Formats: sequence, structure tokens, C-alpha cells
Amino acid sequence: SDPAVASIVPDAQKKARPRQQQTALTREGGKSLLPFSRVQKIMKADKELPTVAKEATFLISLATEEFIKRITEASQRVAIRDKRVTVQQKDIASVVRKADEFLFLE
Amino acid sequence: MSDREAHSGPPGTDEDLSLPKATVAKMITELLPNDVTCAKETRDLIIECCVEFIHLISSEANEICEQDSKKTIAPEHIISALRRLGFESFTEEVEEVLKDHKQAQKDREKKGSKLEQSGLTEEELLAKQQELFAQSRAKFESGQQQ
Repeated sequence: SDPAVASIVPDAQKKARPRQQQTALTREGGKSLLPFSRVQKIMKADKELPTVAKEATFLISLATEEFIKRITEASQRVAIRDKRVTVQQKDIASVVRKADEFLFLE
Repeated sequence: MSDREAHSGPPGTDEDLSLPKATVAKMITELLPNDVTCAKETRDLIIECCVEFIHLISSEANEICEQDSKKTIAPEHIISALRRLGFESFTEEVEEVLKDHKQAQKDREKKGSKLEQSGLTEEELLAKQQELFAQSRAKFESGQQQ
């Protein structure tokens, strides 16, 4: 199997987590999948931000992972309802329009 | 003579100010069932959305931090920001990983401090080791003489 993929879904992560189904992403114990430095750089682009604790940046990284998960799964549902197998930009748009919390993306 | 301006793209298109495409692509692929794919432009759009998301949470956390009269944005501010912005459901998952993260850190610290806990420096430990070797050698030799 592809070693690059294995690092995202390691065998060690076999803890039973009732909330996760087969297609859900599993993380390595306590690590974020997104590079810390990139998340930090994105945040620093906002000059108004004061110092950000490392753990806070880490939490944002995790929240962003969750965001990707939610928006991907929601968009996929739209695509499937439309009888398509490819998720397109209009699916993202439709998800954004419907969910209040995603309104900031408009 | 003309001044040559360094070419710089419009702000916001800097590669470094986004997330790695390959990583996000892999995440999306793993989230989708085997028979569904995501168009490349869609993946790029998701990345843009992520950057907006990060800015949104950061700004909100900043406000909360100021209200808290603190100068550093702390993890609690992020959690509050998520709740205030309607991402309450994220906080459960996020806090669970944070627990694992703290545990992993503790484990790393434990490994390091075992050596420190003996209270000896590396040289002292080495000397002790030599002593033990000498002792067992002496025992061995005296045993041989019998």
C-alpha cells in the first residue's frame, strides 16, 4: 500500500471511536495533519493578531481539519443528490449558502 | 535609467499563505467514498475556504482575548471562538485530539527525565557503569582462581 497514505491512517490508530465511521479521517496520536508553520504563517498575515500560544495555533490547525471534513462531506452529499461522482465548485457554493456558520465564506 | 520593480503578486496569492495542496488533496480523498472524486479546482477552493476559516477564528479569538485582558491568544480563546461562531460541534473533536497531544507530550517528557531522575550526570553514570564492570570482572577472576 502507498506509504504516504499510511502515514495519515497508521495502523496504531485502531482505538475504538464510536463516532468515526470507515470514511472518517484518523489522526496520529495528538498530531495535526496540517503543517504547523503554514497555519502559523497564515495567522501572522493578520497584523492585528498579538502573540498566539503554540497550543492555540495547534487547535486552529485541528479545527481547520474538522472544517475540511465537514465541508467535504456536505459537498459530497450535494454532488450525490445531483447524481454526480465528482464534487464540483458549485457543490461547495451550495453548502456555503445553506449553512449559517459558513456564511463568512460568501 | 529605469527602476526595476521586483515582481510581486497581489497579496493573498502567496503560496506560503495557503495549505499544502498535496496534504489537503489526500485528506479529501480519504474523506470521500471510493467512487467519488473531487475536481482539482474544487480542492483549491476548499483550501481558500480554509484560509478564510483560519482568519475568521483568529479574529474572533483575538476579540475574546482582548475581552479577557490577555496579551496572548490562548487555546481557551480558540475554543470560545469556535463556540461563538457556531462551530460548537468542532470543539468536541478538537479537544479530544488536544488530550492525545498533551499525553504524547507527557510521554516524551517522561522518557527524557528518566535519565535526569537518577540525579547523576552522564559522566557520573559512565563512571558507575565502569565500576560495575570492574566489580563483575573481579568476581569472575576470583571465581576462576578457585
